[in-house]
Amino acid sequence: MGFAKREKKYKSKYNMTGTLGWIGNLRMNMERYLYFLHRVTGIGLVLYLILHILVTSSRMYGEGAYEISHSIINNPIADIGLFFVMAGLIFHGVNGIRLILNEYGFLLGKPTKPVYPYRQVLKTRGPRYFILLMIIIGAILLLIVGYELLLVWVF
Amino acid sequence: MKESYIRFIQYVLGAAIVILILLHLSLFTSFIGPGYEEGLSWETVSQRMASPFYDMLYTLLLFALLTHGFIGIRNIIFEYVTNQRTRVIISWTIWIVYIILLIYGMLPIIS
Repeated sequence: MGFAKREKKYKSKYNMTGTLGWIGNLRMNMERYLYFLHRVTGIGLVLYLILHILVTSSRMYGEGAYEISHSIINNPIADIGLFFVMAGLIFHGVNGIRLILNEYGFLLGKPTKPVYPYRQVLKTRGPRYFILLMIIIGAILLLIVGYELLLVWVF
Repeated sequence: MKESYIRFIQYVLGAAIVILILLHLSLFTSFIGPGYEEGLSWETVSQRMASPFYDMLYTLLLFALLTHGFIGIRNIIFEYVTNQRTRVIISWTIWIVYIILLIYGMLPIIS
């Protein structure tokens, strides 16, 4: 049976939780929060990427067009926005590394027999310490970004 | 293409983007590159984009970011749309926008 046919036969609304499903199942679960943030920052970064391509491509029309397009974004308010974009980018990057490592089974330890009570592998030491490392690396990178922006507008 | 291949592409490009974007952003820090304001001036940018290394870097970065981003958007839209015919239409729309942005982003690198 093809995918479309099978989909039609067992069509169920139960698993289609829609936009509320992004935050509807948080239950103080760290990975769910990270999943939600990864998704939101991802959409934001795609929108930023499109704007970034449109602005930087003005270079091909010569120096005048480049200066005009950059004078629009050359103000403190745009740079506060840039700081949030950078925060989203850094989060998306470090969390993406975590997702790749978890997907291919690094940091998760050796598999054990599924005997009750089951081992919740994401709550073991490896993945939890990696989240801590993630926060530290992200904070350092964000501090560098903040310093560079302050260098332009304050110092 | 199988969904598992698409997810694999996401992981490979994601890992590549982490390295490429660190190279890209290090150009705008005062520690490694010329700094944020200086790194965006017309002279610095023209000088930078004249070298084949940066042409290569930005071509790869543009391709990787657009592919990664649009696969992500596609995944989110497909959670809402299960009708196969609508999915095909959305797929084509995403492909067209993707190729237009890729060409528009490539133009200043080539010229």
